[in-house]
Amino acid sequence: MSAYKTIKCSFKDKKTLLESLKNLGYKPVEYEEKHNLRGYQNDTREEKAEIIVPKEQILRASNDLGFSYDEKEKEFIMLCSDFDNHQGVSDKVRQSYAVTAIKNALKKNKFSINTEEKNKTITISASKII
Amino acid sequence: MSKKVELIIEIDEQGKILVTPKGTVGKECLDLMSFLDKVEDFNVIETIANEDMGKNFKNILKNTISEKK
Repeated sequence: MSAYKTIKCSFKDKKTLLESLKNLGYKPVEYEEKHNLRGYQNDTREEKAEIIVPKEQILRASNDLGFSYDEKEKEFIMLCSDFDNHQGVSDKVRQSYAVTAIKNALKKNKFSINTEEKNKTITISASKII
Repeated sequence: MSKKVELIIEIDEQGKILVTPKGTVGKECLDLMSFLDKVEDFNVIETIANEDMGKNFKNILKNTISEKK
């Protein structure tokens, strides 16, 4: 055992983002142009996004969850309401994205992988012969 | 001679990733994990040497940087 790395993950890859949302059981809707989000009372919110998880797929009193592409930073910004944030929705998405991104990177580098979840932490054991 | 190497990867609730290698040390270990630096989605916050890398760690990093040049 030697060095270890601590890594922070950002939403840069659209394919990984869509895959990670689907892994959570959501069916995200993609729009060619930014689309207004809806609040829990079906009201139109001023926030806009190209990728939206409709509120009906999240929790009973949820608002739409959006991902808006930031051209300058070249990444998607998550638009999550305070309510959903407190329900742990944004954390779930961040974790799912990180798991999906790291699994894809490991597969690309020919690692065989085994995944388990304990106390909200996901552990991936990856191995290969060098 | 070939050998088995392992990476233990923990992803916490906030999506922060901690990678710990097993079965490898020194420059080989850094090389094994170098693919993570190239993943567009990841920002490596820190790479920390464990005891077995000891004083050689800084030199290894220096060498790695000069090799890239």
